Amino acid sequence: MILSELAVASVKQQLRSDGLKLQIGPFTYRLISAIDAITEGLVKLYSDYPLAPANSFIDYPITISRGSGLHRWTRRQAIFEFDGKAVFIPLPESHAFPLLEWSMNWCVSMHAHHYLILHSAVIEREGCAVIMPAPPGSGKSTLCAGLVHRGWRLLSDELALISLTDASITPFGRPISLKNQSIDIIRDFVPGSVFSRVVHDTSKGSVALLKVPSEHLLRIHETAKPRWIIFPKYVAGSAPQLTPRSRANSMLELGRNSFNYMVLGRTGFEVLTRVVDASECFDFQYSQLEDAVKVFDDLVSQRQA
Amino acid sequence: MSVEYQVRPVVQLHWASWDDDYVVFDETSGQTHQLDAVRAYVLDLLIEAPRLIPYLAGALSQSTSVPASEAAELIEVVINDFQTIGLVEAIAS
Amino acid sequence: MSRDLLTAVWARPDQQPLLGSRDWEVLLGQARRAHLLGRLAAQHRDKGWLLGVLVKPRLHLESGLRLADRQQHEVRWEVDCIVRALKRLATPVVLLKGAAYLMADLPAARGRLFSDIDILVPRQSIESAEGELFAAGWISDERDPYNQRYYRQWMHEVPPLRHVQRNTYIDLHHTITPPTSRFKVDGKRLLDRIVPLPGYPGLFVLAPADMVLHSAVHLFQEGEFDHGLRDLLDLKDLLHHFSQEADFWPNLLDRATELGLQIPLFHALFHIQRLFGYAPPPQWAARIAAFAPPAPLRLLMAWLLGLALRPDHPSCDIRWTGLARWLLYVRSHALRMPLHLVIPHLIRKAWMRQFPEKAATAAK
Repeated sequence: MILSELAVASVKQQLRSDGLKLQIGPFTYRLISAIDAITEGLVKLYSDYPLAPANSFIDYPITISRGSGLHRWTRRQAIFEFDGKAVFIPLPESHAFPLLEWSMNWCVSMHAHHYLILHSAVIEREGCAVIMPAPPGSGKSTLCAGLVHRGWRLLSDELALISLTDASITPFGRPISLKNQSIDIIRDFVPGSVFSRVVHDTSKGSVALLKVPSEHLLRIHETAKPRWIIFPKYVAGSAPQLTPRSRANSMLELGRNSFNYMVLGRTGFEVLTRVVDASECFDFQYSQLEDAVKVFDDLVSQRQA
Repeated sequence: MSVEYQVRPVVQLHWASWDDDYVVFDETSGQTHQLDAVRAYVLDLLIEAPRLIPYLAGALSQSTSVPASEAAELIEVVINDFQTIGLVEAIAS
Repeated sequence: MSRDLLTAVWARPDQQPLLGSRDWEVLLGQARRAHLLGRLAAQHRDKGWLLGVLVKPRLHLESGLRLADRQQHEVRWEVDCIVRALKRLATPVVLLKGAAYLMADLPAARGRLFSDIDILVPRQSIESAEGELFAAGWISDERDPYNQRYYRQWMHEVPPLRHVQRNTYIDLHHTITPPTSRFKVDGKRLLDRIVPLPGYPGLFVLAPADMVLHSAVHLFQEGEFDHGLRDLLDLKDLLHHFSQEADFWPNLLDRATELGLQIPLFHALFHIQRLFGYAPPPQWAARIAAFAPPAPLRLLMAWLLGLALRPDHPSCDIRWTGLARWLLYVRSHALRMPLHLVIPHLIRKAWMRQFPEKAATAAK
């Protein structure tokens, strides 16, 4: 059963009682919140995700609560609670839905050490995955959002889950987080795109979440093998440029952009070595999404077996 | 009394390499280091056995294009770096 | 409703918990909150129970194991760095608590999650030790002069030292309790009995009886019970392990009397028996009972501690738990500082919690 098959009143009721239980890729979440923006965001962007069956084991129970005391009524807040404890400082209630997204990422990146978790976007085509690590502001999410609407399957826009046994990548596709001008760029690039309500004045500027194409969710259990590691960089007005990059250097950079590389010790080193072994590494500079689409298409069509 | 250098006994190293691109991982500290060909070569010699600086400088200039006159200074820089990151220590011989 | 699944695991340590999905979710949450996920996982691994766990909760246990296993490496590395930094001081360096358990290969180290490394040096060496650590990259995060004074004058430690590159912490002590404490101990007496660590010249741990007494007094003085259950489990493990030595119990009781630590030991043994069913050998029962404080106080403490030692997790909230913790927190400060200073200090602490940047450097 998927979320859209539940009446909104039912969704709301579950969120306010025992929790709405969603299956997202390999993880099951129990979501609890009395905040309306949460109901609204889930109904709009998570309509195609399956509900977890009744007696499922829940990996991560998440509560987005309102503040206590005076904050319940004035200057309302949203607080992420895990194991009964607030994890971040309270945010304004209007930020509740982006907070939920960040919370879901936090749970996985802090606890799921049965994967090597890289902070990167990852997309797939014809069985080949591109890992795109990038610090904030590099345009990775915009690039990811554009490509997944031009023939690439979304595996994740934030967390690449690398299997410790065979270095394959497990999909964990969720709504793509976009900021500021990217929101308008993607609205133009993808006619009919569905966004959550834009939230302004977050620490990252204006933020909105883009719904994942439902076909991608049908394949959410299909893993992929790493084939390219591409470090994107948006440079206004530039022509597209793909430059080979040292594998050793790429490996170090991936390790720095990993949530749990240090935790995994030798296993982390061995798995990351396998990922880099299997991949060609590039820097990619661009300014136009259409240019990027072509470059990525060429990579796939011109690849050697 | 001369000073030899060795890889610290507590260190446990694992390697990955592609052409002249090297990465070494120390399981004990959990640190990962990227090494150029010269550093990788020196570390490899130190793993084999404790060495004196003149030995390392000689080996370096014989097997690479580094001139003998610069080799000693280069070795000192490399050894100093390795000591700072905790991979190598001095022992009196 | 209160479901303390976590304590039940150690009340019946030879019985594999056979739980459904919902109970696993609760147990894992309680374990995370009590910093015991690694230990829970290690127990399952050591007893061969992992395959008997449902697949999905098992992944969480295995994750906990990876984290704990990795931390063991890191603590060894940290200790190695500390030994190198303090090499020039011709003074013993004594490891305390978790780092000691690990380096001495004690069962209490299994699956442990570490935070700071606690070390003890002679009082007269404190300043030079700080100097050597500073030269090797550890700095004091504590900028507030009030808190500096709180640490140095009233507590038994230098403010925590943070390593600038690794972001690891050292707590540097010269004794195991603050000088103003009701249970003050002269560090010199501990140093008289320290035990060397084979393979690590210059590095020591406390004698077994002293290790046990440190754990007992630490638990009942600290006031912050996040680690309460874990500390009791450590203590139980220590007792179990050292009991194998013929004279351990009489030595322990003699030493408790000698150092004036009978009351903390009494409370610790009481709760270890209540929660885990572990009892000292019967021939010592009468002597231990004589360590008890007067009855009304004893009952109150037992009740307060019993509540405070429950996992701090929503599944275990009952009405009095918050109050119990608060009372213990105040009491713990009273044990460490004269009362007229406790209240202003607590007010200041509460004030500083409003400001996250400062809270990061305030008393942990």
